[in-house]
Amino acid sequence: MNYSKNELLGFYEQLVQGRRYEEKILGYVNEGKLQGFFHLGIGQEAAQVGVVNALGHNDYLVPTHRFHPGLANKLDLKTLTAELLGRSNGYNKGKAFTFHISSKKERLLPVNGMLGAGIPEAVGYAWALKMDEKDAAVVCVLGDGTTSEGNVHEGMNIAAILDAPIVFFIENNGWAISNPVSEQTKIEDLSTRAIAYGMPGVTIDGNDVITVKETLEKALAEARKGRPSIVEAKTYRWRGHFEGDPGFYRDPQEHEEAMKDDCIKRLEKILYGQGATDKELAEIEVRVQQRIDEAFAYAEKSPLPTVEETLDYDQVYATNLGGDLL
Amino acid sequence: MREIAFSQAIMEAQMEEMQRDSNVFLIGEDVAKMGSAFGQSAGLYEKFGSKRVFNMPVAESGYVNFGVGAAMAGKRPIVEMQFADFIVLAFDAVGNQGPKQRYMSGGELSVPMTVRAPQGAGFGAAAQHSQCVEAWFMNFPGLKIVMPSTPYDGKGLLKTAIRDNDTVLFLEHKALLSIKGEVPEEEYTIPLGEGKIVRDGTDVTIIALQAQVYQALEAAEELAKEGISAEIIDPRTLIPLDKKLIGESVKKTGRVVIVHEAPKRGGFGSEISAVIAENFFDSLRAPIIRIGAANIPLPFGMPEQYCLPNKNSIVQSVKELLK
Repeated sequence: MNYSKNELLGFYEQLVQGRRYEEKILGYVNEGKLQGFFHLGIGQEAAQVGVVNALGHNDYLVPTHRFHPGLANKLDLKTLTAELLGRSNGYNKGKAFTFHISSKKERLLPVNGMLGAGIPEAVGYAWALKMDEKDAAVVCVLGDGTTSEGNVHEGMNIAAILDAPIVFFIENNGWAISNPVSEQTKIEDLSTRAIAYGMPGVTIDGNDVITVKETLEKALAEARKGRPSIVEAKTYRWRGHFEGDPGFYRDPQEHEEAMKDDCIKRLEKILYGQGATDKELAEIEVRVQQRIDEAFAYAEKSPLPTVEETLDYDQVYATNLGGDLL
Repeated sequence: MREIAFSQAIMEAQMEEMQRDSNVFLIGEDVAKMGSAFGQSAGLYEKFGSKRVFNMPVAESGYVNFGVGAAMAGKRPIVEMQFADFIVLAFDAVGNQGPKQRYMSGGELSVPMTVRAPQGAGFGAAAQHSQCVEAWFMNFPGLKIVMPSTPYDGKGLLKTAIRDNDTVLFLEHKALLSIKGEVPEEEYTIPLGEGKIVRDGTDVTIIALQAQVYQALEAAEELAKEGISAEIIDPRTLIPLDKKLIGESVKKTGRVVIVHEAPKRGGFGSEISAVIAENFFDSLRAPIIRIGAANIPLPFGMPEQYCLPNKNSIVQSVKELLK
């Protein structure tokens, strides 16, 4: 193992923070306190935390709508939660919610509501970084369902042609809403599509946070030299597509079986092997929960957008030099 | 003053803005060595090289979205559609992505992208290479639409569009790209949102878009022979729209004919008509008449003309109003 016990505890804390954050969201959804649709990534924490930890200081990330565990570790928890609750002091003044969240400061590019459209956008951003001679790359996350979009093909092909500094990270959780991967494509590993674009592709165990981090680090190093690639991380979606989805299309036995491969339990096992104690892990739980509770309390006290802030046309148009835009 | 073709005016606008700002770049199908399908980018590849002018694969959605991403990173892309009809393949990028990122990010991001698209009939090229597409995009908050009719306006407005910090759809008319018009050597720009009185008149206002401006001019000549004085207005930009100029003309004449090449139903004429009815109803002395293409997928070849508005349909409509 290349990591010290403390480093591993650090990853563990992030995995736990990702899961507890979404469990908190789930509680809010169940209490009817949240508007909009919520797509939870419980079970996929290792894939997301692995990505977040692989990013270099100058690198950018394009998350998906199912990326709260990653966001809860990349962003400021209070500002993130304010955005989640649609407050004026959120990252995007409450206009994005986690469905469209972005932040220049945090090098986070917008989550896209139109599956696939964000892929060529990420390529455009990556190309611009290269033109400006920045030593940086973009990690563009997409789900297995999105890989069927035409924009994904177009975007990956353009990335290859332009030698764009980008890594396409496919978080394959097995399901596009109710459609299993086996019914979305004839291929076994989605990363094999890379052959079609003349770039490397690799499929890894998405429930192993260390493997994800290390694979992404290597892919990013290559990307920064203008060599894009695809990394597919296989994981599993524990919840329904959105909160409220009864998920009756899944075989209950298979579902139970898949959930046994829990990324947190896996790391726990390694940690015990390294001499970690129950007390250490319990302390992490307390710390994380406290942080999350504080963030939600902060967000709840934060102001909702006013009518004036909502109908602010300066937020719609950057340049208004005359004529009637309305 | 020197006269140049519309396509050269487009090329010059792009060239000057690329010289002025190193963040401006041009992509599209066959924009590099070929200089665009109608010569609108002739010489730009040779002048600026392959980092600023480069071809994209046949992937309209992919490369307009590429432009959106590059624009968010601070670049100022000019993205060319080879034919405006193809824009349906990039509908999401042009309407749903570029114009919305600013609001959705709480004002932090913007997409200063210009999408250039040659549109319109005149080549008998059938129903998928001949349409005027402006009305398709009227419902996207955040988007601006420019639709010039002369080389002078085309150059000045394109320069402004490229400098604008929002997503601008710049529609050039294929049948006008070869016409020549006065364009000064000196640099100039034209602001978005300023319409133009093409011809002064007192009896009727003809609001004409793009190629139909020329039909309206011919119609006005003919009407003048019969003692009817027609005023012609070219809005030049649809969003923002110069409602003031339209209002002043309506107040003067009290009669309005709106003519465009796109089909009448749901066309931009409907919007102008509604604006007039809402704001200047008291000035109207007769019902508004809209003229557009027939509700027919434009046919191949010669019969195309049977579907389009022209001088005769404008003259006839004006006479109806004055009955």
